[in-house]
Amino acid sequence: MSKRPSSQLRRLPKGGRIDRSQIVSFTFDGRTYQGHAGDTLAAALLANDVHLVGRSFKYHRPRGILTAGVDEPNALVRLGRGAHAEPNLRATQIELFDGLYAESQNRIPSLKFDIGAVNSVLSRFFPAGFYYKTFMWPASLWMTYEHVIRHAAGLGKAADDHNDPDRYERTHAHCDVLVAGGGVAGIMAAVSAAESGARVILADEQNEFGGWMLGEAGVEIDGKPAADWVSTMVDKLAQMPHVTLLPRTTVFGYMDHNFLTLTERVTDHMPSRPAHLPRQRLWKVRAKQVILAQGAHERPLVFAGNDLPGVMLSGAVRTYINRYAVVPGQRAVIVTNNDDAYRTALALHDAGAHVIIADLRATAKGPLITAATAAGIEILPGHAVINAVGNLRVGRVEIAPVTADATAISGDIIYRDCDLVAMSGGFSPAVHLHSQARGKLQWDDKKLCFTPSTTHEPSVNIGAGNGSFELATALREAVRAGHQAASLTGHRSSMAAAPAVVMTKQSWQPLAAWKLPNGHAAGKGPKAFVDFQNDVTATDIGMAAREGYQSVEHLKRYTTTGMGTDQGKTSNINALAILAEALGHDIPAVGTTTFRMPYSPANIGAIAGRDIGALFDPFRRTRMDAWHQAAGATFEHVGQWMRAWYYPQPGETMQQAVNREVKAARTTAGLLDASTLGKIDIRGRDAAEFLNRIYTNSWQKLGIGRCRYGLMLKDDGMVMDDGVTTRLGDNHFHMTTTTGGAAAVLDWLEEWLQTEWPELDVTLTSVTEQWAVATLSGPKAAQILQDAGIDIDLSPASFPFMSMQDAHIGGLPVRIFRISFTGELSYEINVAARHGLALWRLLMKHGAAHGLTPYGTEAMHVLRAEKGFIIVGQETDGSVTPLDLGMGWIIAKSKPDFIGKRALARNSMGYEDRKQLVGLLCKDPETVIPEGAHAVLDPSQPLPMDMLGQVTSSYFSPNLGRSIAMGLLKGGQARKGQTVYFPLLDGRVLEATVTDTVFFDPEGERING
Amino acid sequence: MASSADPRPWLPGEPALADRPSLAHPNPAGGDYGITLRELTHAGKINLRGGTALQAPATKVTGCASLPTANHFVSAGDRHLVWLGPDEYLLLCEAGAETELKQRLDNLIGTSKAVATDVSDALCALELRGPSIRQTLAKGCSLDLHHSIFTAGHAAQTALAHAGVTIIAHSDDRFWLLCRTSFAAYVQQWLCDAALEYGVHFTN
Repeated sequence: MSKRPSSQLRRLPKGGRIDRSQIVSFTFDGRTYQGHAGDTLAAALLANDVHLVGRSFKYHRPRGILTAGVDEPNALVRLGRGAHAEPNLRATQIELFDGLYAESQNRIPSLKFDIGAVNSVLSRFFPAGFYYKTFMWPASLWMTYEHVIRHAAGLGKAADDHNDPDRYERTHAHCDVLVAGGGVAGIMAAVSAAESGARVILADEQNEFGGWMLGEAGVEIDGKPAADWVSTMVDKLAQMPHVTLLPRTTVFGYMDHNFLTLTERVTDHMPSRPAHLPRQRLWKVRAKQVILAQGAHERPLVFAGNDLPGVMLSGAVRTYINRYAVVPGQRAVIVTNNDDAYRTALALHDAGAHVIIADLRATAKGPLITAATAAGIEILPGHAVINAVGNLRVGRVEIAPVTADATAISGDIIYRDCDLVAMSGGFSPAVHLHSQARGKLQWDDKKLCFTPSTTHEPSVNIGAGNGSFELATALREAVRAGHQAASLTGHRSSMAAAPAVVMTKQSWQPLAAWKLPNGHAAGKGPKAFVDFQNDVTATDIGMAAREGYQSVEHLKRYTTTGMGTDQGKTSNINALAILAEALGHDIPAVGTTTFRMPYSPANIGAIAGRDIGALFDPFRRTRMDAWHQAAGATFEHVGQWMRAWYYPQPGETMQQAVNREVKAARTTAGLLDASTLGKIDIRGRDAAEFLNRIYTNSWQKLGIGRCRYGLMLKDDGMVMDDGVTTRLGDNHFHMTTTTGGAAAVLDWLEEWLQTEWPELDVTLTSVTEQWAVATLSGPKAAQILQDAGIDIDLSPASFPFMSMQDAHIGGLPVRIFRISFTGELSYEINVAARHGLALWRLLMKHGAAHGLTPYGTEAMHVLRAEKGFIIVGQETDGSVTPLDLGMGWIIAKSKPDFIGKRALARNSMGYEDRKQLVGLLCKDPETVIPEGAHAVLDPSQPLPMDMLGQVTSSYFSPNLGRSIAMGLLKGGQARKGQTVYFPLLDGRVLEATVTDTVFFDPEGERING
Repeated sequence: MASSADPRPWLPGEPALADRPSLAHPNPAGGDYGITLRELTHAGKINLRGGTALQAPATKVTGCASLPTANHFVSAGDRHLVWLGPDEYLLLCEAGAETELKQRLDNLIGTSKAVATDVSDALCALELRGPSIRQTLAKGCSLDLHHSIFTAGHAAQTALAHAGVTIIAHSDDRFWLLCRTSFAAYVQQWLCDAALEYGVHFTN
């Protein structure tokens, strides 16, 4: 009994690189088919005689499989179901697995009957630039147009569930030599380099190494069939520990300094994806030397009906026969401008198909032509296919004799029935990566292609990608490139001889024919496609040229040729050749469009890697965090820190919780986790002098154990950061910074020390996380510390405001700063971070009897606002000076210098209309003015209103029983007592009085409890 | 002095990763875990700033023969000196030894231009063991960690994903990794995710 299922009509009984023992079932557009392991989806569809696989983008024309690889413009499918579905994948690259589920795209409702095809009938009204011409006017309707266009256009549909369930990851890699492309040239180069001991990465986008040679018959390398040579060499590489083989890996980006990006499809080909493996992996490779062995892409010929299913590239037909044992048609017509298509003719003939060759060249000669003649294949020299017709698949071609340059029909048309047309318009080296790295190209007017020339990266092109289509030449280049790359990376390498090659000779000089004649006037006749994916015809390009789109870059944007997922791999050269012809220029004068990454589409998931969910950005948590969480705190982001925001009790709103916390801090006591404040240990003989230069006020005379508040300015005189700094010893200070500014301040200080003041004896060490900090604030604070077992005298006389003492609380060594951000009696208790949680628990335990209440950052904000204390970054925005804040008292004008002093002396710093900090009391005490609200003097003035400034902080103050706010108003200090208005987005206009910024305890009587 | 009646259940204090549950994902290929991860609880860490003035004090208190050269570390028993920059080193020592070592360093430094700062609680040290350390770290670190390049004795201040870390190679299958304490949970979680395909075991 045959293992070949009867459904695979077009499968050859033997041959190919498929595993016939493994029969694989798959579903395409709801129908189940069978194929073999080793097939691509395209190969398996062709084995089942399915050519119609999609509808085109603009005209919804039926489209088939054109290629056998990455260059495929037509056969795009949506793979998988539900959240795993992925659109726009090329059937020519999808490895077949059991249970594979794929759907065609761009058809409503089905492939065979698509109502969108009405666009094709109406195509006279859809010329190049149709959207630009039609939807320009009126501009206000663009939003409506866009909605319809986006639905009608676009390629496939993304997954229904936008939460991608798959794992992805990124990895870095380094190597001496990266070889991009694992055809025979790439393999040879990798072996040549690796034999010296060089670290080599060999990457190829296919499941198997070997490239084009896997689809070629009758080729011998080093006395073996090419495929056997390939497996010998790959085995050899696999044995070398310093070689990394990456199949299923596309090198898609080539950046400066030999930094390249690769996508490895790790589990895409598996019927079920193991949970421990990423679906795809992005490789970020830094290579000392790069060898580009990307190969070449075959070009279509541009003739009427060249987009019908069943019209394929010649080399692809040969690959399906030799690699997949699939014959895509039984009655084949070949149209070519070169020798290579004769190999396809022979392969088809050997596979039992009937073949006719229309050769554009009148006098082609050579061993392949001789072989085809000997095989009895009908050859029509000097003939072109001028039209292909059929419904959903090619059924007949019109062939005509053409002039020597193939631009005009020179005789009677012949009609031939067929089910397959194989076309070859020559080959274009894949110069994409070379060009991405800004390498230059040159036009080869014999081979009719752009080949790589100079580059500023340490890289070299070899093989077909270098225009060296001849196998023996490619292998010689590969051996030399590998040897040189190894030598250049410091490895002792001796150059081996390139292996001997047996392959029928052919000419690599095609006839310069791009667009074949059709017997109609320019712009008339059936459509001949240049860009299949974007439905761009030869006529469109001619029209664009006539309309003045003469630059190839403009042509691309106007006609969309070369856009889309294939980025014009099959169409670019034809398009610019036709443009050159229309303009009367030569091809190099027209040039190419810019090649940009990615070479082929890269999955966004792989680029994100594991930077998603909880790992998107680190959450930094303090050492007391476990307590806050257990207490049910709500957290807020402060930079990367998660700080306790407020601690709602059951049934409490945020406002109620904050009010309770704020009240407690002024009536009993409150406890704040202040661990996140930046802390910098400053030491050295010049430490005081350093602070004198950094801060605006004076530091030389600060006594040991005393604290001082400081403002730090940028050199433009604007407030940068603030905090309290304490003198621990003659040459030793402890600086605190804002939570968000900690890292930037340390960098800022280091920069001044290292670049401007290297003569100062000062060292800085971040101790932010060495200390956990609990701030105990309120009238009962001292009592609680005593109950908790503090071993120092807390009386204001022996422990005055703005001083520091070392002490023990319950046996824990602590450093206590008597400073206050609330205006209450307050202690900032620092303890070695490992004891932070214990300190917090101890204080809460002994504070319970005194009504100690933990408070979060929101209550902290309210408490400081009641006292008119600023928060850098809230009252300031990089354009605010100390004078603007009403803090002129902190500037020591007598100091010879400090950062920002010179800037503060500018005239503009004294302008009366500078925005200045003021207090604001809303007329309605229950209404809290929104932060960011803009003030105006006259709310009835016409728009745009003259703005005075904006609210920077605004809260409800439970201690005052009313709302309070601060804001920056133009000339604000002179406006005290004035009424200003806040017109809001919701139509309300709030009225407020300008006041002083200190709302509570203006005499500061509460500081000692 | 201290007079609390509390039984001091907190001493010697909370490790940085005290809250992180232990975790084990077997090696999918069978065999040992690719990475075993644990916190070096309370390892002593002293940041050293200064140039040649550090040479004598640092070598004397650690027993190391000399200060390390750039991107290296040196060891004497449980004590290590890690190069962090042209005038910056990190002294690592056994848990609890840092207070005394810092005192001795201060005495030996005297008035010369050098500074020792106890950062034992500011940094978390993790020990990584197993055959898959380099591949795992390569997923988040752009340095060349190949065994022929980043050999035993190398140290580097670098980034692992979104955290600043110091990587120390003791041997092919034993690394230390230091990060700021507040990043330790992120680093641990990241490592456990990145090492999933090799098998990973985090013990607390």
